[in-house]
Amino acid sequence: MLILKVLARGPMHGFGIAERIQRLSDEVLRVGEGSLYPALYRLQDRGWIASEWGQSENNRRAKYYTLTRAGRKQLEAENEGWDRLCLAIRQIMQSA
Amino acid sequence: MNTLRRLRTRFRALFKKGELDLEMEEEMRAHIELRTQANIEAGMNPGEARLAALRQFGWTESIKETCREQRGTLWLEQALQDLQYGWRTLWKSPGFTAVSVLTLTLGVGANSAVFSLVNAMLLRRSPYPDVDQLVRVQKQVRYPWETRTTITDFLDASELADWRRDNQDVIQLAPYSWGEANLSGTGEAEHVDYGAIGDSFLPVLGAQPVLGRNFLPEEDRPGGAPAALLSHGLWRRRFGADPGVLGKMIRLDGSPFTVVGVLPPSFRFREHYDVCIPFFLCAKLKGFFSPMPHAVGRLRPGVSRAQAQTAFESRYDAEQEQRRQQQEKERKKDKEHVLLANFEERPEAEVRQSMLVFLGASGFVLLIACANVGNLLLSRGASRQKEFAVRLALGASRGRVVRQLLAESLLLSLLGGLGGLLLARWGCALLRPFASGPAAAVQEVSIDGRVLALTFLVVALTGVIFGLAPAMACSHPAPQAALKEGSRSVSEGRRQRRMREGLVVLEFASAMVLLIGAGLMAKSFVSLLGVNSGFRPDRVLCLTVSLSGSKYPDARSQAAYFQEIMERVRAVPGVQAVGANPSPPFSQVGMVASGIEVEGHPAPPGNQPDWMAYGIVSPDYFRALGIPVISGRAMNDQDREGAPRVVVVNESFARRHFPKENAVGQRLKMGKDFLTIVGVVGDVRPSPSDAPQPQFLLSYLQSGTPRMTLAIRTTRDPRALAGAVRARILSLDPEQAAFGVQTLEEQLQDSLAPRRATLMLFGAFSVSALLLALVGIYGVVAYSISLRTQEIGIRMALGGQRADVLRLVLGQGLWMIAGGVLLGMAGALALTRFLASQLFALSPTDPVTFTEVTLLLAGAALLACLRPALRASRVDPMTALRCE
Repeated sequence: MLILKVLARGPMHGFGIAERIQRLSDEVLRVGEGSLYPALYRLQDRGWIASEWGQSENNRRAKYYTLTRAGRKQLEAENEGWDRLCLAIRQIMQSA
Repeated sequence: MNTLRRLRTRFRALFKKGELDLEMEEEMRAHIELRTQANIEAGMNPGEARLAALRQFGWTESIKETCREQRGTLWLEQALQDLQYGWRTLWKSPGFTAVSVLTLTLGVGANSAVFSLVNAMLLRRSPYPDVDQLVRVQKQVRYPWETRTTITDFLDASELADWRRDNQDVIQLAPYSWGEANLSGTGEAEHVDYGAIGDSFLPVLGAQPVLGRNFLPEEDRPGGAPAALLSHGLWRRRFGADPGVLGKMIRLDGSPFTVVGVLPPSFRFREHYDVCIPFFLCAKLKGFFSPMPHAVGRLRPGVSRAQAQTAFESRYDAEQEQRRQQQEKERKKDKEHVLLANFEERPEAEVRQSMLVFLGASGFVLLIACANVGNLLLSRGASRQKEFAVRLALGASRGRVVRQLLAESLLLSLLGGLGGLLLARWGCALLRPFASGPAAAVQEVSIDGRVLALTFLVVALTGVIFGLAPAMACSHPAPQAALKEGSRSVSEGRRQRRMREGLVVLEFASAMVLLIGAGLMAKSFVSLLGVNSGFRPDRVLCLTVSLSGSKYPDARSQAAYFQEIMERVRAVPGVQAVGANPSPPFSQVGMVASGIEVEGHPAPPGNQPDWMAYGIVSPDYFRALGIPVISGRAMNDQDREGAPRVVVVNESFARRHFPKENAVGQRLKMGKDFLTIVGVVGDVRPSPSDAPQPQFLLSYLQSGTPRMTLAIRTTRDPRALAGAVRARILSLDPEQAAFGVQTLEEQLQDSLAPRRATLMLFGAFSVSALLLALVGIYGVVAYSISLRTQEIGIRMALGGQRADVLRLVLGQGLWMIAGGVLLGMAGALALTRFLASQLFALSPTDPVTFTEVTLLLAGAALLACLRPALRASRVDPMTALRCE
C-alpha cells in the first residue's frame, strides 16, 4: 500500500521508491531495501503497477514504475479500508 | 482483459526466463549503484559506500529467488522439474518401469476398449441436428385380447393424417413404414429392405439427399409419379456411385420407380434401408395388408415437449369423444392416449446389463493393475528411503517430496495410458462382434473424443490413486529414523507391510470375482454347445425367397412357385432333400395364431384366448433337417388344396394338449375348418438357449406364404452348391431374388457369436487379472523375504528348521490368499447375478464353480509363494548374517 501511495505521485524507479518510503516514514520502517523488489513484482503481476525502462536523473538506464488505473482503484479501496480500521481502533481505544 | 494480460506475462515468465532474469539483475545493480553514489555523496569512501549499499540491500540471491516466485509460474517450473527428474529416475530403472507400464497398459487398455464399446452402444447420439427437438409418436392402447395397456409405436394411418393436420402449430410429423422387396430393373434381381417415408420425413430429421432431391409433396399423394431415393450403400454397390443414376428406373417387386436422389452415407434410421419410397406407395407395394405406420416429429422452435404433448393430447381427446358419439363400436373401446417419446431409444435392458458387466470387469482389471503398481512403488519407495531422508534433511518440504513421487507415478500412468490407447485400438476390432442387434447398424466401435477424454481421466486418476498412498508412506517426516532404519534394515515398517498385503488381498478378491464370472460363462457356453437342437445342422444350406406381392398375390400362386423351385433345386447334383419353412431355426421369426381350439378340449371359459405358435412347412422339411417323425406320418404332396386339411404337431404340443391320449387322429378347429393331426415330430429349439415351444405345423400346399426359407441338405460341402442353387431359382423368375445364403452351421455359430465374444472378453480379463494378482503376491512375498533374510539367518543359526522357515513364509502368503478368497467370494456372491442373462442352465451362485475357482486360485497363489519360500529356506545363515 505504501508503494502504491508513493507511486500515486508519479512514475519512479526502485531506488527512488525506497528512498521515498524511508523519508516519508521518518526512517522508522527500515528494512532491507532489496525486499522492496519482490513486492514490486507482485504488484506488477496483479496489474496494479506497470513498468518501463527510462533514463534516470543522472543519465542511467532505470526501470520506472507507474500506477495503473486498477492500481489507483486498489489504493482508494485500501485507503478506505485503512481509514475504517483506524476509526475502529480509535473507537475501541476511547471506549476502553 | 486482465486475464489476457496475466496470461501474457505468465507466458513470458515461462519462456523468456533468461531475459527476465537479466532485467531483474540490471535493475538491482542500478539500485545498488545509486545507493553507493548516495553514500559517497554522504561522505563515505567508495569501498565503504559500496559495502554499505550491499548491506542495506540485503542478500541478493535470496531476494532474486523471492522475486522469481512472484512471477506465479514457480509451481509450473517445479512441476516440470519434477517430471524431468521423474523421467530420469524411471529411465534409470527400466525393469521397474517396463513392468509398471505394461501392467497399466493392460488396465487402461481394457477400460478404453470397453468404454469405446459402451460409447458406441449406449452413449453416441443420432447424427441429426437438434436431436432434443425430435420425438417418436407412440400410443397407449389396450388391445381387446389383453388385460393391460401397452405402449406401441404402431399408429393408425388415418388418425395419423388427422394429427399431422391438427397439430401443425406445435409439431411437424412424418409417417414412415418399411418392408422388403425384390429390386430389379438393372442387373440381377436383389432382395432389399425399403423404407416408406413421407415427404416431410427428411426435413423433420434434418437430413438432405447428397445427390438429387427429396420427394415432392405431390409424389407422396395418390396419382403422383412413383419416385425412389437410394441409400448411399446401394448406390455405390449396385450403381458404381454413378451420378447419372438420377432419372433411371428401378423396379421394386415389379413396379417401376424413378430414382430422384441419393441419401447421405450418415443416413441411418433404426433399421437399415436400401431404398426409400414415398409413404403412401407402401400400401400398394405390400399388396396384402395396409401399413400401420410409425411416426417421428420435430417440435416447432420454442415449443417444449410437454407443451406439445398437452396440446396433442387435448385435441386427440376431443377427436375420440366426437367419434364415440357417432359410432357405436367406438364406445366399447377404452380411451387411448398419445405419447411424445424420446427420439433416442433406450437400449434394451439386456444390452445395458452386458455393458455394465464389461465395465465392471475392466474396472476390476484396472483396480488390480493399480494395486500392483502401487505395490511396486511401495517396495521401491522403501528401498529409496535413504534418498528421501536426505532430501527431507536438506530442507525439502514433505509436500515437495510427495509431489515429486506423484510426478513419477503420473508419468508411469501416462505411458501406460498411451500403451492402453494402442491396445484399445486393437481391442476395438475384437469388440465389433458385440455391436450386434439394432444398434449395430447405427453405431461403430471406435475411439472418439469422448473415449480419449475418459482415458485421460482414468490415467490421471490412476496415477494419483496408485501413487498417492506410497508417496505418503515413503515421505513421513522422520528423516533420522529413516536414515537409521535404512542403514541397518531389520524388518520393514509395519504400516507399509500392512498396506502391501492389503493391496494383494484386494487384487485377489478382484481376480476371484472375475474368474468366477468367467467360469460360470464358460460352463454355460460348453453346455450350450452340447445342446441337442432337435435337428442335424451339418451340410444344410439355407436361403430365403420373399415373393413380390403384386405378382404372387394368393396362396395358390405362392405355393405353386415354391413347389416349382424346390423341384428345380432338388435336381441340382449333390442335393439330397429340400424343405421349406418361413421360420427356420435361428431365424427369430415366429408366427402365432389365436382362436385355435383343440377339439374335445375346450379352453376353460373366461380365459384369455390362447396364442399358439405355428409354422408352415413343405413335406420334405423334416427329412431335410433330420427332424424325427415320432408317430404317425409327415404331410405329403397329396395333402394339397382341396384335400382334407392336415396338421403335424411337435412333441411339446402333443404333451401339453394330449397328455394321456395319442395325438394322431385328433382334430384342431381353426375358424370353420377342422384340421386332422396326422403325425407328431420331434421338438426343435428356436435357438440353442431357448427351450422348444408347443407348435403345430401346416403344409404350405394348404396355406400359402409369400416368404420361405429353403433348407437344402447336401451330400458334400453345401457352400459349393450355393451358386448352382441360386441360378436354378432365378431361372424360374429372374425378378425373385434369393438372399440370406448361409449354411445352418454358420447360423448356429452366428447365434452363439455374442456369447462367444462375451466369454472370450471376460476370459481374457480374468486371465490377466489372475496373472497380475499372482505377480503381485509373488512380488510381495519375495520382497518381504529379501527384507527378512537376516532374520531368517538368525532363526536358522539358532536352530530353526527348514520347515519352520517354509511355514513362516507360506503363512504370510496364506493369510493374504485366505483374505482375498473370502473377500472375493463375498464380492462374487453380490455381483454374479448381473451375469444371469449370460448364463444358461446354471445358477449365478453355482457352488461347484465357486469351489473350483477357489481351488484354482489358491493353488496358483501357493505356487507363486512357494518359490520365494523355498529360496528362503535354503538361506545359509552365515551368508545371511554377513550380507549387510
